[in-house]
Amino acid sequence: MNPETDTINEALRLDGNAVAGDLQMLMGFDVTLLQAQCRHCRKDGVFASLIAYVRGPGIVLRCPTCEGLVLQIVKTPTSVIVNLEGMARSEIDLTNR
Amino acid sequence: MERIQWQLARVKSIVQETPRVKTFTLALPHWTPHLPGQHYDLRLTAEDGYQAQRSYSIASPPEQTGEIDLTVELIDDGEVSAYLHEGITVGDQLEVRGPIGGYFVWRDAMKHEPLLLVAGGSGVVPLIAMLRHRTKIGATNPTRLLFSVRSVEEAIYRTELEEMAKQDAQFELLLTYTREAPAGWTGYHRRIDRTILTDVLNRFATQPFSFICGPTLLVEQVANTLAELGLPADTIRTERFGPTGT
Ligand SMILES: Cc1cc2nc3c(=O)[nH]c(=O)nc-3n(C[C@H](O)[C@H](O)[C@H](O)COP(=O)(O)OP(=O)(O)OC[C@H]3O[C@@H](n4cnc5c(N)ncnc54)[C@H](O)[C@@H]3O)c2cc1C
Ligand SMILES: [Zn+2]
Repeated sequence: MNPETDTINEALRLDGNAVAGDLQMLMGFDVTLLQAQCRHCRKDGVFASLIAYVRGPGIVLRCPTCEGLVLQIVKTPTSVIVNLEGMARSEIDLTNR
Repeated sequence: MERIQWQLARVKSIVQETPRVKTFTLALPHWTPHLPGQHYDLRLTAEDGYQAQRSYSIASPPEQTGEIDLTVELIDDGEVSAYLHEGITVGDQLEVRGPIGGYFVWRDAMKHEPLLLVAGGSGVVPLIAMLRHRTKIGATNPTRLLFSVRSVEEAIYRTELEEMAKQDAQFELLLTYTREAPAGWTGYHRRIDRTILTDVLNRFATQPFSFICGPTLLVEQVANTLAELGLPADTIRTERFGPTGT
């Protein structure tokens, strides 16, 4: 563990709000209010509160509780690959709040 | 929620808010009403095709139609913010898409609930949209903005916020200066901590709904402390800006 790089990584950490534009463009709806369950620790949470790292080659979303990988998006010149393996279940509240 | 597309906005005006912060008013060919707290993504494309994309919150209220205000803090060696500050003038075009997000938004249905807004540096941008809209609709819910800034010169929208506090008995502005405070200052003069948050919560008669925005570490620390102080987790909404600001 390098304390200096850890602090930089912490400061660069974003959340689900920051990737909402990419996902809305991809799926046609706002994902921030999705209720998602982490497959690793089974904790439920709103999509916006997932931890996001967007400066790598793709986008990585991690569980704020156990840091397990919840969702990964990789963009290639011709396609977008979405890996949802870390999401046990997701639910949209249609009442919009 | 509508599909969003990239569109070319025209820079209508630029205002210098503080020495390091500018507001860009963008005229949009396809403007759609937004909710206060939402953001746009902005994309720069270099001649060789290289692209850089960042998010910027909407500062203007939805009542300001056909255009949006984006308030951008200049980050040292920041790729996109430096280009916007140094390379963009009135009449230029910028590629944007939005409005984005349904979580970090203050909805009209919340207008009767007490409201606590906490910002560090440029984290005040989505919160000013909430405050401007709240004024427009004449909401009278008890509202407080706890705003952490380095110094008076760096407090974005300070004159407007002070005026708002003067005009609106239900709105209180609580500044904390992390570096120099002005002469004679009797308010907070340190980073936001548990004591400050306890004090601010005690000013509310009932538990407020809260929105916290700014540098990642500030947002996480404030959210955790508010939860420890007894605010239910589902009434605390957060948006991390990354390493920017105070
Ligand atoms: C939802 C959302 C809304 C936002 N709204 C606003 C807003 O209203 N106003 C505003 O000013 N900002 C806002 N931001 C922040 C904004 O999106 C940019 O992050 C900010 O403008 C900096 O971008 P930049 O390209 O100028 O800097 P960058 O080039 O991204 O650099 C930023 C800083 O981080 C450091 N850095 C970058 N990458 C690394 C790395 N890999 N390792 C170590 N250090 C690194 C740089 O040295 C620099 O100090 C928002 C962010 C989000 C997620
Ligand atoms: Zn988990």
